[in-house]
Amino acid sequence: MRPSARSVLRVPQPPAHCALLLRALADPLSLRHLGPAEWDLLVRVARRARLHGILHARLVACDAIGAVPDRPLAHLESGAAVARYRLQLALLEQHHLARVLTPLGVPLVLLKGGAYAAQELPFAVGRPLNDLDFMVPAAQVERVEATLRQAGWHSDVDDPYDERYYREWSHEVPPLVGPNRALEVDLHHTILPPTSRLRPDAARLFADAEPLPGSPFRVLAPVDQVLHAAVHLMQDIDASERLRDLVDIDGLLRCFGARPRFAADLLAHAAHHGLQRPLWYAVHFARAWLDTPLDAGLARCLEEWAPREPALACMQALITATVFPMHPDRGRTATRHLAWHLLRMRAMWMRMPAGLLMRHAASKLGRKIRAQRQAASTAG
Amino acid sequence: MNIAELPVADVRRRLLNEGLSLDCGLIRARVRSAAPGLAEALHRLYGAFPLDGCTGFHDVTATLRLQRNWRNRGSAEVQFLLDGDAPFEALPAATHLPMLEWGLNWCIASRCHRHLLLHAGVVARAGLGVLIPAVPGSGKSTLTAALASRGYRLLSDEFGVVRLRDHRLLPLVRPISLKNESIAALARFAPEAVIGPTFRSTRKGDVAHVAPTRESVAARNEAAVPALVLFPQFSRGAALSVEAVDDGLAFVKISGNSFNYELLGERAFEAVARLVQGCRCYRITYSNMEEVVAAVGALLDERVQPLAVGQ
Amino acid sequence: MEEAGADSVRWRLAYPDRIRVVRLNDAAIVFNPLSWQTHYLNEAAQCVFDALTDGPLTMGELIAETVDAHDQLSAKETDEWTRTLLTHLGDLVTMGLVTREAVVMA
Repeated sequence: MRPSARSVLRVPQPPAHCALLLRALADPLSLRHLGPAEWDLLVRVARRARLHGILHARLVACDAIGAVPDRPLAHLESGAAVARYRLQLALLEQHHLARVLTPLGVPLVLLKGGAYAAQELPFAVGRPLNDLDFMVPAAQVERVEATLRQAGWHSDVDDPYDERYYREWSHEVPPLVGPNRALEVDLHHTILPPTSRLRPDAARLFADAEPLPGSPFRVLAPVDQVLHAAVHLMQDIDASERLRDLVDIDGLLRCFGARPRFAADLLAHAAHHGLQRPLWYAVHFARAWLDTPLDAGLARCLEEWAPREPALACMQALITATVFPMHPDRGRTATRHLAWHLLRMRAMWMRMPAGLLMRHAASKLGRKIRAQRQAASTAG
Repeated sequence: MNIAELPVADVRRRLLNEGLSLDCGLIRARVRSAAPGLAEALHRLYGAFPLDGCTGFHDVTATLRLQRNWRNRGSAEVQFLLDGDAPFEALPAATHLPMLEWGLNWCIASRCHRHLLLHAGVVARAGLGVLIPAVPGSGKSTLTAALASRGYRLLSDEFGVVRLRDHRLLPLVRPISLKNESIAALARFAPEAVIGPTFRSTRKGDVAHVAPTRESVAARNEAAVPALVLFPQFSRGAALSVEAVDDGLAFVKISGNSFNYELLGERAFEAVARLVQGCRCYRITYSNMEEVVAAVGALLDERVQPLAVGQ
Repeated sequence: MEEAGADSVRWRLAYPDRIRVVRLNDAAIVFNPLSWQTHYLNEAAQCVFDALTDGPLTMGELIAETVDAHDQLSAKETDEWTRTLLTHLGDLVTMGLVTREAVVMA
């Protein structure tokens, strides 16, 4: 019996058009008998979620790629080719970063997609990288940024408002582009913006980070990678690719779940960093929608961190309405639109103190209106 | 049965409901739209294409949505929607077919990375392919249309598709898009060519499309062996000139003309190298269509003879 | 800038096993397996590139490899050739095809 069956049962059903994609991710062999119309919908939904490259990799891994009809296969191969290219750009960018930053002797910790690729985690094959995230200790950020700028990296953020947003309110460095223009680099000093109400212990994250053989970069401890992915699912403002965050959580739990002490470390680290709630949600949705296997003891312990009603019902509704790609034949529905905005507001609220949030919202609105006026005056 | 055999009213009904299926070989598109005039244009230009249902797998599902722009006195516009997203600015409603063709080009360039995609026209004679890579304005489409209306099979006007497995050219048969003076020039050169309506003052000037022949459409799944690479240059009043292009330069020009050369990495490097090694490459400057068609025929004859001797 | 003729520096191909080269008439087209960039090498650059395919070389060794032993170069000619080689080596380093390393004295 599954210890958390009670809460699993309460998870809303995913939208019908996504059922096929979820089934495909959890059990690629189930795709062997799809008809052409099902492939049509699956490819379109997977591409929207930017998961078609991953789907390709999973079909290859279970030796079922030969059963995919040729036309849909072309799209999966296309997704795989894009992912492979982005991976190469990431490797190139890491090469250049290492060349410039290794002499500083500062710990460099790769995050998210770049870290999964560097560890060659099988679940991340075919996962397209948007940018390269890495973190250095807060005290070293300025030095690292200055070194990169000296070596030809620059920020493409030319809007002074955006620049201020990054520096003052997020305490983040604007994305940097290197002289070879391989992949945008995001320089962090923790896994959440410092203005967030959640305060993970960055020093511990660095202390627990693990080396990568043959590389000057390190990666977060496996359990911290899970926590980071969980935080990303619940907090990321850019909610357009959330299903991929969930696929990351599922992949990490499957990859690392069987390691000795994984469950105990995960619980201890979540408690230490104050990330119990994001972890609970992440595991909850991954199990419900991607059938992620979980150690029974771990599941029982996690139940103690379950949110209460009505917060739980609200979050479930919001996540369900925003995590899935919309139906490709339909536009964004009003409910989805509203839910997306609510979630965005929540993410912002979690990230920023209230006063800052008001200023941020007002300023964003002001710029939007200005942009619209400009568009209207040039359109005639 | 093909699309031309269907009454225009039925094409319109399909566009309004389940969609009209366009099977171009490499891609199969499902198109929906209520834009007035689009059914007539598709009926004429895609007439030779097979009439398929819309229920099977399609590579592209596009809607040309009719909408009003209230910032511009409520003028009618068409918006190209791809799986619910609008990647471009809307255009005046009367520009429906160019909008559809540009939209399809964009889809192909952004999601067909199974193959090397070159910006090129492609025709073939007896299974031997002529690749015509070019920058816009060099007379690529005019040359492609001229050859396609003199017995060459049209593979594509816009995309040279190189299959990475065997480096053969794959067809992507769609109407050829002509601009400005070349529209009338082609009508004079090939009076029997089926040319669609002229769309005036689009962002690329006047645009009209030439329908692919029935034979080209029928062969939409047959690959061709690349034999010639022509870098065309239309130059008004110029005498015909044909100069061999050095292989190294041809490599640079072809790879620089690709939509996804960099993305495909070593596989693209390999494909372009094989293409250059297997083809003769020429720069061809022309103003007279009769002359250039005769010259291309002669170049292809030269290619055929050594092949025939070699067998 | 290092001493031009010094043998304290050695040049080597960055990825001797993975680099891809195709020869087309006078040109060599080279694919860099890390950057995925394609580079066009003219005859002189090819000459340097080819000299390095058998292993790393110092400038002195590179000159010996690229100049026919019967051609007795004057000091001035050697100087000029060294500068030419350095220019091409610099280009190859920028392309990521060649790396420069210090020779560890025994």
